Amino acid sequence: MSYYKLLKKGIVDENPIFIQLVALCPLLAVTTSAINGISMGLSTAAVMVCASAAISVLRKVIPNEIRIAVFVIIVAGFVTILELLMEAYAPPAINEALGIFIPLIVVNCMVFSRLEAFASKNGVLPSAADALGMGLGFTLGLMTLGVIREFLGNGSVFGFELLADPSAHVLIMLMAPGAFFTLGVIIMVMKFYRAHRAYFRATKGGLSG
Amino acid sequence: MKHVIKPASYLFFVAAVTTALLVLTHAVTLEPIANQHKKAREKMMREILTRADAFQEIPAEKAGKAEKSGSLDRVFEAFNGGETIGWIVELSPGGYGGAINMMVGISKEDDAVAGIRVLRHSETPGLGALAATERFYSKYEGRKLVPLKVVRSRPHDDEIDAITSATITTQAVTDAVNEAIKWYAERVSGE
Repeated sequence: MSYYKLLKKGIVDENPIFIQLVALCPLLAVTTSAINGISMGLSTAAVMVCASAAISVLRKVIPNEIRIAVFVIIVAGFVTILELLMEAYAPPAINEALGIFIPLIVVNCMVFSRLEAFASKNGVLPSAADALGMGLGFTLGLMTLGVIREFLGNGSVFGFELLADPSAHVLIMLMAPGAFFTLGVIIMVMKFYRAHRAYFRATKGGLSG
Repeated sequence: MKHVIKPASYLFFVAAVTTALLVLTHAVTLEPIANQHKKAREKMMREILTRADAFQEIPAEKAGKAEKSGSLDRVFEAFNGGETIGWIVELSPGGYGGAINMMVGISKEDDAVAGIRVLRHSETPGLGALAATERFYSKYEGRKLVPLKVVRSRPHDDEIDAITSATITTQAVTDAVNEAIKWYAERVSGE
């Protein structure tokens, strides 16, 4: 499979949020604003690329019985190192924005599913590409939900106020149920579109057909 | 027996290498992290008491930390040209998602709360986390040194209106401010 296809698979065809429906825990927790969603998504993508490459290198020597334990140690190690490095050297503003999300990456099932399903069976570069694609797909999902929830719940997008009047804000969108509502509606629209696309193709266009 | 020993020693090896890497990273980053925290702390103290040019930590026994079980962590005395202009009280009250590490500034000349800042917290993003914003800080600025109460509607002089859906966080921060006010009343103005 080409690198382009590997990337597209993660971002579109097998998007972790909208298609696979994994990693819903960080989805509920951090998508209260667009910037939070992007921050969490990109940090996760960085850890996934490192962990996938490392597991891919080690894939032939890891005994099968203990592979999950090895995955956990390696991912937790990368996450902690990233956390320490960011705290020490990243500009304070970036560390403040990302710091609280980084420990959440270690309990993300999506990271492990890529290690198990892909990195432990493929070479280093395809594994890194697969992890990058899934990471970016995850970022796209988190950002989409973040934009919608921030706008409906707080009247702003990326921190820019569009609806300043607090009575127009739907507070429940900022809480966990709001994430489910948003995700449900997005999936409904996607399924509707897909079903109709098949219908259009079958009838060669036109609703009346 | 071999199928037990081989995976076990492999797992031990991976754990040992990871631990060694973590120890190394920790050792390398220990000092930069401490510097970052110190810088962040001093920047915040300067934001609260803008006129201060130096801060000095008051020894624990003098600050009264040992005898109290409250959330008080430490106290800094703020100076301007050698003259005391106020105090910064650092506290860690329990919020909704864990301890809220914060500072309360007390201005000597105004005899009022100079301001508050939140250093570290793990409150709900979008709700309790709003306690670490300028908008929330400003609710405490210039308050008289009397115990404050949290309310949900239009506030009076000694009241703080809660962040919507984050009453616990607001209460925790307000409790900490009250503790700082109490510390000031007992330790400084009562002397």
